[in-house]
Amino acid sequence: MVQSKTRDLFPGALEMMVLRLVQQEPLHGYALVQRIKQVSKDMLQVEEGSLYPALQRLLKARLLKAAWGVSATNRRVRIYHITPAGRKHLTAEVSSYEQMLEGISRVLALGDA
Amino acid sequence: MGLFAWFRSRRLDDVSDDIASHIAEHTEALVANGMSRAEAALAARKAFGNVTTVTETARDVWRFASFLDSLAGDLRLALRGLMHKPGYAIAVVLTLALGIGANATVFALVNGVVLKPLPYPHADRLISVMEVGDEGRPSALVDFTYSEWTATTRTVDLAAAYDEIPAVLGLPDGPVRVSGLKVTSEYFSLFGVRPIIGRLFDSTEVIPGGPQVVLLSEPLWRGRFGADSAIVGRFARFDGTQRLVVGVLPRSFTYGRQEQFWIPFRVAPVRVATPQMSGEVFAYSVIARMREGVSTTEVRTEVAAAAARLRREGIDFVGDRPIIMSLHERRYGDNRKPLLLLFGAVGVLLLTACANIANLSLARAGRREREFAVRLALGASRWRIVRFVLIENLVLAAGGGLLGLLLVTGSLGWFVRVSPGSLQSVDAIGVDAALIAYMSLVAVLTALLFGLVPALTASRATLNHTLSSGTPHAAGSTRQSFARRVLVVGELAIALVFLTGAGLVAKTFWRVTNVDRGFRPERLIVASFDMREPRYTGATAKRFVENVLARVRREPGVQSITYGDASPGRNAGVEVVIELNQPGVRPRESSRFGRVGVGPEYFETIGAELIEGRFLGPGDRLGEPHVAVVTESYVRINMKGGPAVGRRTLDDQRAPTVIGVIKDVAAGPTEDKRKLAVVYTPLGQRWGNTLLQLIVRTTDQPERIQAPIRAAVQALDPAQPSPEFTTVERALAETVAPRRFTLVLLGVFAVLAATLAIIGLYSVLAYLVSERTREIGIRVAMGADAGRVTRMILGHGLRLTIIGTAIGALASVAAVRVLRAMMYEMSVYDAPTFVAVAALLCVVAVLASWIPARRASRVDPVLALRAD
Repeated sequence: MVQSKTRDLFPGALEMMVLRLVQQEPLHGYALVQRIKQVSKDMLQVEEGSLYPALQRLLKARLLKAAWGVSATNRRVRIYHITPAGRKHLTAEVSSYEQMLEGISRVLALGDA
Repeated sequence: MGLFAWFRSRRLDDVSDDIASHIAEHTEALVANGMSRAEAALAARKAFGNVTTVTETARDVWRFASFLDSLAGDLRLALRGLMHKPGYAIAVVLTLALGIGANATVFALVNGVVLKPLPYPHADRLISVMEVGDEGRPSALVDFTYSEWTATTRTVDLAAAYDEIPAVLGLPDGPVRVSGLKVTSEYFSLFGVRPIIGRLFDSTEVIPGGPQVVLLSEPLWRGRFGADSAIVGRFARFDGTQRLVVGVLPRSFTYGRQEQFWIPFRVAPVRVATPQMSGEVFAYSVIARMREGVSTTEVRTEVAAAAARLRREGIDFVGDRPIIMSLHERRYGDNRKPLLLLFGAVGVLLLTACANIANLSLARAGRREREFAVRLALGASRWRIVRFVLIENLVLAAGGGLLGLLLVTGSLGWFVRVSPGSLQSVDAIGVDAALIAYMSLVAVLTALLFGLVPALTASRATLNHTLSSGTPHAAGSTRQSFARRVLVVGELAIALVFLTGAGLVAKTFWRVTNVDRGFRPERLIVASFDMREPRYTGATAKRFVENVLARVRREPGVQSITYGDASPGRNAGVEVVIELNQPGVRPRESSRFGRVGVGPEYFETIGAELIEGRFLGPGDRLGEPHVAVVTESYVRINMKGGPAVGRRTLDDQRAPTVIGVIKDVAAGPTEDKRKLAVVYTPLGQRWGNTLLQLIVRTTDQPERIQAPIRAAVQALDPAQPSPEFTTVERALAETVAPRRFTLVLLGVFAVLAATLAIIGLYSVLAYLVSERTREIGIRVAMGADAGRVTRMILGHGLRLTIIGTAIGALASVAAVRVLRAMMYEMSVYDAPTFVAVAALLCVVAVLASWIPARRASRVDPVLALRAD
């Protein structure tokens, strides 16, 4: 799974991030790793060992499509696109994640009172 | 590669390519940051982690694909394992090939004969209509019944009458004998046959007094008329009559059948039945097509009602018991039961083969228990191990099935050729989709059958037991040994059943071939003259054959020559005729006998044995007192025994006087002694027959006399076709052919089953010895001598043999009933045979036990105890 430097992320977090990034623009595997690192300002480090099975799961669920294309370095790479089903799934996931986060935050905020 | 497999492999390639390009991109990025390429490549790979694991995990997402993958892996492993120990694989594949091959061969016959419908439209509704005739056998339908029934029927929509008709076809290069059918016009509609050239009979040709026409079969047209399509519209001579050829019917219509031509059957308007009608009765073969939804019972009721009406009007010779059977049953009904029995027998044989393989497989599983225990310990599921063993067995079964298929294609033609009866006429026998499907099914089922028990046993291997218990095959061995012993006992029992059957048929066969025939068949040849043509009468036919005889007698190689209206080589040389003492009185049982008209030196030529009186001589001519020679059976059955010479053959002053008694002349085994009751009268004193046999005893090969006879016929009457030749020995061989066939079949089965059982017994004991080497070593070390060890193992084998034989003997008592019809003057419960085969099996079993027993007695305690 996805890991921060110190702890595991919850199941589904990696998939959610992958969908979000790919929604913005189609990406290949290596680029995805780089983007997560870059956007999270090195707070998140994706392990390839988790990324590729996750990509296969998303492909299998038809939330992503893959097509062979050419990378910036002119190499034949597999580029992942989001599907309409993927967009829908992402929206649902993000809103449920936000609800959960809000719930957690509220509970944690109790200590300050 | 299938489409599915292509998709799957592409998907898997995608994952590894994807990962490769990922590493390449990373390397590129590191090089851009100033690292050397080699360092960068190494670092990128390191950062990625274990490429194989990641690839595998990613692939595992596609679960089904991974399932197939592991299946392929198991398959590879199974093949490798089998190749590693080819002895086992070869033994199993060969055994299975034999078992499945034999099974499939019989299935092909059953499929062709029992399961497939006849190749005609609405074949399921075609029926044959007959009535119960002499001796309760089906016979042709009397014409009165046919007319009355067809005029009123509501159960069939089409009926046709036909009759066989032999004829002499006149051709430029000499006359030939052909056989055909006279048929009513509905005949062809019933079978839905269309001519390949020309047309069928038209309405003017099927009525009495219509033009003389003929339809030819394709083989006759090709063979005798050079496939000349201009034949239609020309004339051909049949029995001296010019007939207009109107068409040719396709080869497929006559496949395996006798008829070569058809002429219209003109059923005259119903004759008026009068009390003083001659004894002549016309009867037809009848086929019909039932209306939809009608049963044969309804047709039977209707025909019986028609016959009853006729009987009430005083036409009492029509049969009152009609027989209705489907055309399929009429053609193949005789084959059905024997074939199904045979099918059962090969099924049992296959079971034995499976038992043997299960045995081998169990032994193998025992040796592999440690391997399986390790796999279980490493996390393999039970199912995975069961699956692996099953895959292994399926591989073997597939091999056996393929080899079996080769066996079938090779043996089927041979089998059909050697089988007696009407199998040869079935064109539906062959390798087809149904056969392949059946074989695949059998292969899979056998794999499950012989593989499931070993598979389940193997998967139960527990680590603690197996790994800790020193010898690899100590654990679970009690369970397996028991299973293996049960299998061997079963095999021995089945082998005994087959052996008993084979023994019974062998004994009968010996009796049949050594039956006292009452004449000497060697170097006798018979030329049959069929002169049922209008130009011959009984008298002229006789004169013709006498002229041929006079010419042939002078040929070298002729030892003795005669003629008669029956030969001793066929059906006891007898046509059973019924003598009516008074008109209108049903013949009594005792008045049935055969009558043979004979020429001079008949008895001398066939080598008959005189018991009393004298043979017929040249003095027994027309004008002299009527005399006869009779057989022993005739005296016993029809004359109530006692000295016969001087008495009349019947209680009738016109009957001939017996001048001699000979031993029964039998062509083959005859249970019904009435068929051996024969009266021989001189052809010089009575009405002749147009079917005459020239009988020659030669001094060397009987076939050599054929050419001189043909030449004599040609010289005396160019319009007469050459007679048919049969050597009497060949005719006699035909009478025992069905028993010979059964004997060969049962013999082969018995040998196979016994071999399998003995191998099974041997392997169980051999395995037992190797399993208990350590124990035997301890025994020897403690002072047991070699004899004692030998006795122990032998006793083990003997115990299994005795149980198997006992069960087999009981099963035989139940099973041999099916052979009852085969027996000749002996019971199927023939005690000597039962005892002999059981003894034989026991002796062989003891011999098979001897080898492992000897080995056990030579166990060196030091080596045995050091073994593990």
